[in-house]
Amino acid sequence: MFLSPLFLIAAVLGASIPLFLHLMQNRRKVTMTFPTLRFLKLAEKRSSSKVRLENLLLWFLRTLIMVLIGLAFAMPMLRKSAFVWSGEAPRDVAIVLDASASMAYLKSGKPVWDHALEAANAIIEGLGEKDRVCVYLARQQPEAVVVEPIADKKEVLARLKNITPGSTSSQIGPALEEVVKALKKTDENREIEIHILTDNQAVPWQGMAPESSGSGKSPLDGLQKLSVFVSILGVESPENTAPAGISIQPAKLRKGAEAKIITTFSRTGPDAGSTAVFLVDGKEVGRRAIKTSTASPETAEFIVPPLEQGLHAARIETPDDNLPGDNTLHFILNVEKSMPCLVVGEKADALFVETALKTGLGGPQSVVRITPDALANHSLQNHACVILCNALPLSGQAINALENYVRGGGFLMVFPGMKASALDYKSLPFLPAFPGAMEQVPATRSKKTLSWDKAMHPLISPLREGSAAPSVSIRRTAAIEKVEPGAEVLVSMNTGEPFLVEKIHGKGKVLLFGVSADRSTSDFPLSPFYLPLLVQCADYASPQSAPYIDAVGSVVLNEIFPGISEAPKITGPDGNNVPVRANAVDGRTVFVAENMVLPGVYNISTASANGSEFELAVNIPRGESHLAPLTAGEIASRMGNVNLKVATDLAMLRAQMEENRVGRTFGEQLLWIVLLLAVIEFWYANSLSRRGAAGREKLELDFAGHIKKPAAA
Amino acid sequence: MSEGKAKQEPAKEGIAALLNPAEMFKLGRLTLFSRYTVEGNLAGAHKSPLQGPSSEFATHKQYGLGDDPKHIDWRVFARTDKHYVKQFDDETNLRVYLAIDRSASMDFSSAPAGPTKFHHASRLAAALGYVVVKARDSVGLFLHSDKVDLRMEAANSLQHLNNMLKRIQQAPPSSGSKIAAALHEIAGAVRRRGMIVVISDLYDDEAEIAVALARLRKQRHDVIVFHVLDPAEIDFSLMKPCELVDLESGEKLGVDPMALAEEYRKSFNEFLERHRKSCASLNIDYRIVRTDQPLDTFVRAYLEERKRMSK
Repeated sequence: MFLSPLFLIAAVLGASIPLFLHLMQNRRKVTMTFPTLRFLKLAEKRSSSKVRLENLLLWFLRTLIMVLIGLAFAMPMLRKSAFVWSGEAPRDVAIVLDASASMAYLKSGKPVWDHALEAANAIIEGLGEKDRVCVYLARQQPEAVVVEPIADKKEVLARLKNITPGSTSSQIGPALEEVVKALKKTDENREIEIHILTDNQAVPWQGMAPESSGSGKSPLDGLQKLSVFVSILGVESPENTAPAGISIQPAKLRKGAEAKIITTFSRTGPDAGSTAVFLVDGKEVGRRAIKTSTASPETAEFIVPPLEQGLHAARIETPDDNLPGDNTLHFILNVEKSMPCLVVGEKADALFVETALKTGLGGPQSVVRITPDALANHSLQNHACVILCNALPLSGQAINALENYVRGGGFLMVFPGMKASALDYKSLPFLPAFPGAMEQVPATRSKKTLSWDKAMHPLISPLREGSAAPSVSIRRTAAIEKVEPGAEVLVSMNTGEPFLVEKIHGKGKVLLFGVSADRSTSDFPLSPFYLPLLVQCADYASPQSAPYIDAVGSVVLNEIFPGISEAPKITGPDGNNVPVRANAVDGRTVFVAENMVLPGVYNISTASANGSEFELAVNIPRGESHLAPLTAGEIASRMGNVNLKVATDLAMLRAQMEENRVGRTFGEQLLWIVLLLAVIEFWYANSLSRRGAAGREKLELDFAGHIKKPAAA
Repeated sequence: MSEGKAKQEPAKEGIAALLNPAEMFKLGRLTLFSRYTVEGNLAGAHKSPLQGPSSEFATHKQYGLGDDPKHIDWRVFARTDKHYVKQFDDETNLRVYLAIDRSASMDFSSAPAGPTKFHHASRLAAALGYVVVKARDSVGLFLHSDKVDLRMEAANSLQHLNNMLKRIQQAPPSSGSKIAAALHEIAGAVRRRGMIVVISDLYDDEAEIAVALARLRKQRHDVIVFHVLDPAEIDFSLMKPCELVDLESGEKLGVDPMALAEEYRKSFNEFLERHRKSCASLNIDYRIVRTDQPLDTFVRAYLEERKRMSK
């Protein structure tokens, strides 16, 4: 195929020029006299075959040069992808648009998403009449805009106009799988182009294992005549600062009590300073100057002022930058009045526990004490935690009630006592360990130093701040020889014996202490460690729901609000209602909010008279704030063995498509060959000429006519 | 119109047409010496095979009848008491025959306004003749092509030389060349020992020429061969393809000079080398005369070299 086929005529004419010139030269030959032809005839006889060969070679070279010049100007096209000389072929084109939140990054004054749409339009408008196109969005789950390839370009363009980028993360892999499914249904003889338009953030490619890992095959395997174009439309060196996460301390906020919010900030790009603002219920309550760095995340601490009981919408804000969507981190502060705790034991045994909880840090708890005998008939469901203080042995009914309570998500704390034997402990199969009977500890070894075995455990980590490892004096102890499988020692004594052991049983947790709750076995109740530990256990007992969730599309409400029993009404941050779908799963009804992708605080309420009201904060996934770019090589590695072309802007993409669809002219290469041949021809003709002139130097004679130099043989 | 302008200068001929006064002045002091004994008819500067009055002592001879008593060597008589007379070498004049080739191939000049080979040969003949006559020697002429067309006996006068040169000018190159045959004819015509100067392009069978030259040498002639060549013949410096016409046969040949130059020069140099070797073996002076070479310089250089060789 030639772009300018008319020049082929020039090539043919050019080929005849050397021959024509040769003939013309013969015709115009000058006639001259010469003394004798005998030496010329002899020379001709000697060199005729050689001269003929040289002339033929020169003629061939000159003809080739003329032909190649004509061909070069005719601009032959080579379709490199197919390695065939051919014209237009019908093709199916699939466009995968990365619709992640990071596509909102501002590049040249407009979002990368707009650049992607522009590229998509260019791809579609460049298609031929027989070509077809389908469009898929890579979000958290792939979304089809045009499911199967269609030839109606106007329709596709119209559908593209209505698409907006999401606030979720995206995955290229699943979208490609959907594309492959759609393209496999088409005619096998059609050529296939897949265009991936992305901002080059690494996150969407994370689901696709690098080829070198050998952990999977490319999702594009099985497609024939395939060309893949990846357009990296984001900036090469992005810069972004965003609040990445928060930690609320204490986890449980009490009415009227102060707390603190530790915020982590992420940074992409060179180190930069910024300002973070903390707002509660729309009012600014704190402001910090931060210096963000890519190497190590910056943290800032904000004080939460005493708040009234209830839900409070809060957020951390950073100033506007190139990616504005992640500059606000919304979350909910759930402030509670008190926590219902059930203490089981005689008054003397439970005195210290009861006192600690009622007067504890973070506000008083609602504490109810019953005797062990009353446990079997007491409803445990309304209590956040149950504390056994020298309450063993228990009746079988009480043990069953406790087990059901724990299995259903309850929190049980067990303090051993003098009354229990080793068998009594073994009657409680959910215990993390089975202590023996109380034994006397020699006075010389009564001083025990406690150490944090699981320092980062949510129960322990708040206790460690600012305090050294405590010491307690233990007179008697229920020896724990080994812990049960699945249990872990949180605190141990310096002698190696466990002091506090935890085990998860069903949905609940069980904590076992190594000493009793009163002073009969140790001075633990009098130690400064006692009160905070009990308060922390109480907080730990009623887990705080997550302060916010990432926008992922569909949200299963029952997982966030277990108590929800009817379809709630959800109002989004923009005031619009969010549709809720009810699904039956394992015999129970599960409510799924279909489209909670807009960052902000959602109000969730049930319609019934005794219905409750919740609030839920939704944020752009924080991974989208980390704009680590992926190189073309890494993309190629993840795409597998496909004919891949990577473009960094629209012009480059157009050139690559042109090369793939029409081919690439190698007229320039031909001209280079012509130049090379011309040099060879010049050198060869010149060497022949030089050889002819080599003996042209005069026969050297002296003045008297002697031959100075004999004839050069 | 003035009288001077109206007066046409007469066309030059003879020696005046071939040599200018400056050249004649330079050549007037030179002598063409023979390397061998020659037989002249006049007393001269060249060694004769005869004995006669000269200053060059030859031998003693016992006094006999008819000897002039004034030649008796009295010193020998005083020593031997016998009468001996002194004998001296005879010295005679040189007879130089110029054998000039007027074949068609001599009518060639590569330069449009340049001299033809025949013209250059004529000038060479004039120069040599002038030198010979000035030295009181005799000069004769054989003008030949495929046979001797003109013969002029040797004589010692400028008038004779002038007539001779006029005859040369009146016989331009025309026919083919049979140089060997002409040389044999010359050998038959010149019986007494003299000098034969061959001025030709030697385009004939080399072997036959060598035989003819050998015959001349056999007759004890001092032979000199002046091989007259145009630069184009030696260098073959034509550039563009052309059609060449053989001056003698009229045969045509289309050639690409650039392609053939190398082989041509090789063949031509072999041709020159064969002549050179052949002449060297016969003790013949062989000289190549290029038509683009200044003639007076050449003649002067050659004669001086010859003078050295004759001593």
